[in-house]
Amino acid sequence: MEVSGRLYLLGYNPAENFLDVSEFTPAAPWISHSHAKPVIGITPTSPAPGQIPLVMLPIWSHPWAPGWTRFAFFQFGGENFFLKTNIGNPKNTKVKNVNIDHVLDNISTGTVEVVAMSLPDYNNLTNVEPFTMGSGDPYFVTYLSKSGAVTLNRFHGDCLGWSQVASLNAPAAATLVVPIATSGGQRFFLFV
Amino acid sequence: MPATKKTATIYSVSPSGKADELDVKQVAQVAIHNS
Repeated sequence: MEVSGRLYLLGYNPAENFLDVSEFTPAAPWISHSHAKPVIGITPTSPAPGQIPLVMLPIWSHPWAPGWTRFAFFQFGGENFFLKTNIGNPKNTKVKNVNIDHVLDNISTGTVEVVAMSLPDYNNLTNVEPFTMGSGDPYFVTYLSKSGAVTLNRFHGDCLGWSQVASLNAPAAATLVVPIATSGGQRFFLFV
Repeated sequence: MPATKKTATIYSVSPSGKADELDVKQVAQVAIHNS
């Protein structure tokens, strides 16, 4: 994820229920570790003699509920948002388990939930992938592998929800759903 | 490694001309082999 020209990694550890935001940055001796709780470990290695390796600098960490999955990142106005789904309590079908979160302008303040909604078959979906149409208008596609059911959905401009804009039956049992954008503005989906 | 076969299906997505509606059409389906 890129914020103001800098590269960040969001890592979620479902076993420890923590979300971390880390920055990829050149290794420097003055970097000290923050209070963040790292969810992955990386050993920095130099890409070539004389080049400084990149390291991951933890800058924000926050406890989350267990069961978050299917993160789909998108942008509005150059700012980063993501869709996430909670499957931690599958018997509770009344809870709005699909959220839009905003990655705050100051990345060191982390993320904040914008809205919580429900999504058909949220608990059984196998793939949720973001894509764009037109001039970067954000959408997402859902796929249910056991039936092949696909929905395409448009995020609302107020970021408080989405509308289904297409549905189809793709082959069942695919494991990959890949949105493809060409330089000519065409959009495709690949199911494998 | 045993030979496996998977199917790749490709759909095109385009505006339908109507609000809140996209057109989705299958444009290709090919078999992928690892042998």
